[in-house]
Amino acid sequence: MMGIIHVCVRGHVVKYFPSELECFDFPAEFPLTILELLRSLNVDPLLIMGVSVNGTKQPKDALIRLGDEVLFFSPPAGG
Amino acid sequence: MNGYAGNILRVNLTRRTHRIEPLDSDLARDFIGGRGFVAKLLWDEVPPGADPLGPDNKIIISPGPLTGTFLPGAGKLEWGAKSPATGGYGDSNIGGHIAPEVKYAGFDAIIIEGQASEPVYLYINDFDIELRSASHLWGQGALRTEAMLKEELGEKYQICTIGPAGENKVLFACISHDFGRQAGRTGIAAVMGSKNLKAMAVHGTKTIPVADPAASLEIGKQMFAACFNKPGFVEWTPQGTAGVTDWVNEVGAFPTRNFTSGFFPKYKNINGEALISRIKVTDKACYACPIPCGKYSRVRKPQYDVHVEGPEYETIALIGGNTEIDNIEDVAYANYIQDEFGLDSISGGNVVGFAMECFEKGIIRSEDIGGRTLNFGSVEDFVWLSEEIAYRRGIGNILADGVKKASLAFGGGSERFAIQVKGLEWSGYEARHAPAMMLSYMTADVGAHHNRSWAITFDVATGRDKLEGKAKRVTELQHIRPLFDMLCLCRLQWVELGFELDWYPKIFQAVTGQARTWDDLLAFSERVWNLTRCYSLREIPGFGRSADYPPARFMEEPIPDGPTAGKYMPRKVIDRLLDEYYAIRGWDQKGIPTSTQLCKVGIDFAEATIAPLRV
Repeated sequence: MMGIIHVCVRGHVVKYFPSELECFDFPAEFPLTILELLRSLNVDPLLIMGVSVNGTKQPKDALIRLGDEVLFFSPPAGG
Repeated sequence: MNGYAGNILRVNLTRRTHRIEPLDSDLARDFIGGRGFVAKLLWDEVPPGADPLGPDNKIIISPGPLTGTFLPGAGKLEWGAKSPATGGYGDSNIGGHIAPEVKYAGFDAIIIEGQASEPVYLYINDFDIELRSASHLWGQGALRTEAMLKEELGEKYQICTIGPAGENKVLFACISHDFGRQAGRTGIAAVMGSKNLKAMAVHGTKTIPVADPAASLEIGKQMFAACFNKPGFVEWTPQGTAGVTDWVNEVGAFPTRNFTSGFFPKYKNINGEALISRIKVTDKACYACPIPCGKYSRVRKPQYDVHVEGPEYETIALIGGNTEIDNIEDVAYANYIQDEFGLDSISGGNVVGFAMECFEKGIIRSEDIGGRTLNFGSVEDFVWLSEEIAYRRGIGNILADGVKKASLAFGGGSERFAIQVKGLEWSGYEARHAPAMMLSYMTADVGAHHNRSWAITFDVATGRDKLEGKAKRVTELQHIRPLFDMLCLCRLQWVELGFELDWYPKIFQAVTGQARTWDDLLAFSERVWNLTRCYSLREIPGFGRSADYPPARFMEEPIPDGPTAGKYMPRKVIDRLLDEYYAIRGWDQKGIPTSTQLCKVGIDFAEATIAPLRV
């Protein structure tokens, strides 16, 4: 099943996402894990410190559902 | 000069005098405040060859042109001196609430020179300046001293202090403020101690001239709103920098067992989750900060009950992983102990880890330390050694000079695992499989510190075995990040929230009236980067390429376990990184800026000093 995921990225790793956009909609084939989403976006999962789906922290192997909002966190980069 | 208070305060401790001087317009034209003023004033005013712990060294304290105005993170204060840790250029900055007070008191820089004959503290209430006796404060802990001065002067005073480590001129002593904020690196607190200067208390009531107050206010409001609207804003605060602990282990870069490894199997006992679930009381922010990274904690065990700000990530890495203390309560307690003694917990954890490895290898023997042990994982040993260092007792007197000098004293091959560059202990990222991060540490102007360039995600994104483009990216970051220390702004809004850099020229123009592009501002930063290199070249015999190498462990010993097992960075790779870096910088292969480069960046005044070194 095809559908849209709303993706946001917090912090400096946004520059490694398509078009360096902080928030964007991404069409994907479901079912889909967060890791698979990152690979579809051509982003190395190691760049991501954490993930929240609909406001709840999730591991990178968690499944995403149609209509989910996925938020990726950059690692803090030192003061 | 909009954005500046217009004055420099010069305090002579020997003569117990002070003078208020007008801010030099050439200085303000050619160098942005904070780190810019620190670098230029050190170059001009500290006599070449001065003893860092003698009366000729000077402490330069400077807020920036945006300090105290209305924008996110405008509360940093830069401290500088000839570093007793490295013998070269030294600076460190502090957050909290003191920077705006310095500016409101009317000063763009404070120059402290000479040496007091007895302990004093510097009292500043606008232009009411006094050197007051600190005889009742001398010997007190850094946190306790702040509490005593708050009690004595009132809450409205913002206070910086040193602890016993600074008094005893420990070369990694830190300056403390706001009960847990520190200017920790390069040993400027030891310079304070050498001058018998225990503290500085500041209160100011003046205004700052702003070129376009209405525009400044409007842009400031927009900047705050932009921060609040960033994706993930709410999620940032709970763990602060401690939240990165899991990730650094995941990429195999977590300092473990004196940088033997990059992975600590028990990291979940000391990570951000452990911090918030077991010891955190509340969040704590600096002046004008919408994203409080400070975590105020309380730790209670039968043996202790203390409050501490932290631990932040760097402390978790250096006290936790690096000495293998494996629970957040003990890490926080060790953090508190080092804070109260006035020790930088980055160098402090690094030095104790080094000593523990020396003990394990028999280089430090039980009979050398009164029959006791110095074991990885022991908080009791950690706390005991921290006290020995702070008071320069026994073996602590050797370790108080940092790992580079201690390894020369101990011998036994310990220089291989003295994890430092230029005499400054390495901070919280193992970099044997991260060439850009390795180069960042190697070439940071103050020594092995991460805040000049942080590039691990760049390494991950572009390939950790690839070298192409790494030197270029490090150079770019070394201009961007130190620019924040010239403007005296916190970097976290940018790096953690992804706050756009375009905001800064806009607010800079509204406050100062100077129309500058971001690239214009970066040119100021490049000027200072070259000047600090020249400063260390002038002060340290033989300084240059040889000072830019990492310790032998990183070039010769494969990481034994974890995600980066088997990785190390051979010397030929290090040499290639340095060759490319120097070429990009316009430095020769000895790491010395060329004459053309000095002219290009506008510091041709350094040419007469540097030219003889190129021969």
